Amino acid sequence: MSLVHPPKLGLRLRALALAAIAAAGLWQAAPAAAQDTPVAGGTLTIALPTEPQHLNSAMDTTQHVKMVAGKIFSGLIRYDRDMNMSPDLAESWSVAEDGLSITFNLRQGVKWHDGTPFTSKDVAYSVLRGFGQNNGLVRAVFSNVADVETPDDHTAILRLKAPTPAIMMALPVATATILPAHIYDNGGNIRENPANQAPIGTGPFRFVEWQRGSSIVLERNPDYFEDGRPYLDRIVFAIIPDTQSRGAAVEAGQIDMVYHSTAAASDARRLGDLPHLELSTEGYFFESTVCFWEFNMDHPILGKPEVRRALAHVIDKQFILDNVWMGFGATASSPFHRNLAHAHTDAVPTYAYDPATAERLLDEAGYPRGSDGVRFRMTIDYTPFGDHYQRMAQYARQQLAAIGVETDVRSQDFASWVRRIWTDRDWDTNMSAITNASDPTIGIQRAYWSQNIRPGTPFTNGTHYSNPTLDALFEAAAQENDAEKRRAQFAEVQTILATDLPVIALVAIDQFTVANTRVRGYDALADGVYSGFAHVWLADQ
Amino acid sequence: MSAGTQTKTGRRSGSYLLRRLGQSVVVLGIVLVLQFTLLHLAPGDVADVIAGETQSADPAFVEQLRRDLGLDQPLPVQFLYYVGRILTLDFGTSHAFNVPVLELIAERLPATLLLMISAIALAFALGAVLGIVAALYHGRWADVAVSVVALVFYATPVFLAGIGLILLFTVQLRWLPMSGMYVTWVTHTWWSYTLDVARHLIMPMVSLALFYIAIYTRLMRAAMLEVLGQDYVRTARAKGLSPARVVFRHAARNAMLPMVTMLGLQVASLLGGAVLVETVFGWPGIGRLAFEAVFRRDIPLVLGVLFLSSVLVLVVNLVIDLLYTRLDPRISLK
Repeated sequence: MSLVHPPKLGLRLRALALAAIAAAGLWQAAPAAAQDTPVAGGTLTIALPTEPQHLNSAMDTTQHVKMVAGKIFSGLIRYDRDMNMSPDLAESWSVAEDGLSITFNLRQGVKWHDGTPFTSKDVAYSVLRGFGQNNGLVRAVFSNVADVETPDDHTAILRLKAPTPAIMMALPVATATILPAHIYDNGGNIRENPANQAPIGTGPFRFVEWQRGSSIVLERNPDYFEDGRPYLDRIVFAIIPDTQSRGAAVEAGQIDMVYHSTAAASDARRLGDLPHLELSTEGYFFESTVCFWEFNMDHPILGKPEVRRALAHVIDKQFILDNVWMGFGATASSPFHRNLAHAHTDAVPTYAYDPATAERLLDEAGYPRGSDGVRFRMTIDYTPFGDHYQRMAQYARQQLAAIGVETDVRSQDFASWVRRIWTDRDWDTNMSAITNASDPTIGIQRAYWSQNIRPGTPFTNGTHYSNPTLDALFEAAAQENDAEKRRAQFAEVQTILATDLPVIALVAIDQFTVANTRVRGYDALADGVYSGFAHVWLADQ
Repeated sequence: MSAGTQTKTGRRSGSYLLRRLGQSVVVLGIVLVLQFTLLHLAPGDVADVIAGETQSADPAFVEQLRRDLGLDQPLPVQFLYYVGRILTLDFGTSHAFNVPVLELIAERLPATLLLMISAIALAFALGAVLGIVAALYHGRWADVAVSVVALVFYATPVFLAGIGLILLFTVQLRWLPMSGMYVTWVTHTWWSYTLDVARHLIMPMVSLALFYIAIYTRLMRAAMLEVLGQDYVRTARAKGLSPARVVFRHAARNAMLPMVTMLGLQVASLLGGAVLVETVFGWPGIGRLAFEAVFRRDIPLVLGVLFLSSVLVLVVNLVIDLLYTRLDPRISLK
């Protein structure tokens, strides 16, 4: 039962295709059926699972922050679902032959929500001192920008220290939020700027009010730079902290959308089958995440690759996919998500589910069962995001007991877990996941590159895996402008990771959205629900 | 009561108040030290959380965060700094929101007070009525029915009751809104606002009240049974007073005393229950604010909420002690 796509696919595909056409600005050319012509007006209501602390996605790409901020701000470039680029604030762009500079020609006549004209100064500030310094995820990539030249108000040239192809994968609004320099570039601390609570952007929607604990309201920006857009009059984010309540709210029609798998996965298909609701797993390209079981390389037993390869045979990935993730995803053989089509490969060593082989390999590795039937003992920690990882840990515990490995599953809250794994390093194995982002250089390299063994910093190389060949491949790929060569380098990376197994990749997760069928176009872009929603409209019902 | 005794009572309660206030300050001081220590015993800080949530893998970023937030100072220095500011009623700035703690609390406190007061009022009133009914029909079917209902209320976890109500009244019947305190995106008149809040309040209030209804019912029933057996009740009956007058004027008023005691004890636990209810119903209250702040290690915000909650509990208990003398003139303040 790995049904990834919901029923009603035919209808949905048609709606999506139309929405994609609308998104590409080709709407007039499309044969317009009355039902599928965007209509202006209406209020879209979205359930926010957690209250954001602020609305500045340049310094914090937490899901709920960028969900709201993505509608208020703009990025430089948009990406459709095949990662084809289209203009946002940048009308056109070019990467120099040597890869050492990127030129953006910016849209003219764009105004900030307070009426100030948008210029290349805003881009320079944002790249150098906005997201370039404060966005934890892409900061490392943008640290290759030596300077941003602004020959005129509508041209921004990024001068790079080294070729950095990953930059072109990191320019949507969520990772490259362009901030207003006239508000932020005042010498103050970006975290203390009052505009973080009431942002001024260039995006399709303007901030109206934030009732703390209840809702955030945005309204249509009448001066938006795309004619006739946005279609919606208003977007209301209702803060609904409880999972069951969110599902009930969308079922009762009190809200239009629950996004990023924040309804119960066990309930999602039933909701999607209701006549007024639909289920979609599209539009989460930038959230591509693989969950895995990782090992502390400093552990005397688990540090041995033959032990890890033996343990890989005990885990039935399909079981985890079906019973923990409720079929939302696909089994994974390396920490590369299959969404990353420019880097992913399936041609890597795999480990069939076969406990007998695991027992034999452990015997051979020198860990036979003792007189009490136990080979060795270890702990399993898990990331406390939702209950998926806890269930994965419990499953592994049961499987391991059967082959004579005694385990202790440990629980803790998020802050304690971060401390344990990356600072105190008091762990043996860990059920976790990290986002691939849009490119391995941004999202994957950090977890396996030996230069990134940095105790005290979350989501660095926490296993302490170190392999000079792998390091060299990652470093070369980070600067490789030839797409095919880069793909080959990443293929080799995946083979090494699947052979050495610093982590046993389990499931490439698909995130899902449950939305009212009247909402059109929400998953048309690569960043789906996190995009600006200028093209999203509500059908009459 | 003569004028003389009145002044005497007044003077006595005056010095009593002063002493109680003095004790409260000491208690608050101890609470503050404990809270600060306990919160810092939890591993991890807000920089870990922010860096973790954004999946940042950049040590310079984490260091910069710690420096910006003053987390690089030694703990005793942080504590003295904090106490110094509290004395001037400055609760600092929330690490996560970057908004003054007092402002955040002021925004969210009214919602929690409304929820707590309406829930406790409902529980108190309904509990008293059910308790009286059970006591009057002691051992008969009405008593059994009330006891069974009370037991079910007592055993139902708050969040389960909440979800059940939502499934019935929102998903099935579509009568009541399920999340938030009022519809924020329409322009309200004073009247429509009140109505809207009332509609949103029903389910959270009932979920929170259920447990306390059970407690007050059992308490009232026991107290009434005891009082109804007293000599003065028999005397009242003997002198031919109507049964209603005996029950309400003579018995119920005296049975109220343990109920009021319970009220004071339960303010603190009610705050705990409010966290769950606020989460299930998206009620924009202070319990949820504090709960989320703990997980974010937003220490200034947690300390602010805990401190003000302690003040609230102390004040309510003081008021209730004073109330005793009204309910039962035999009790004197010492």
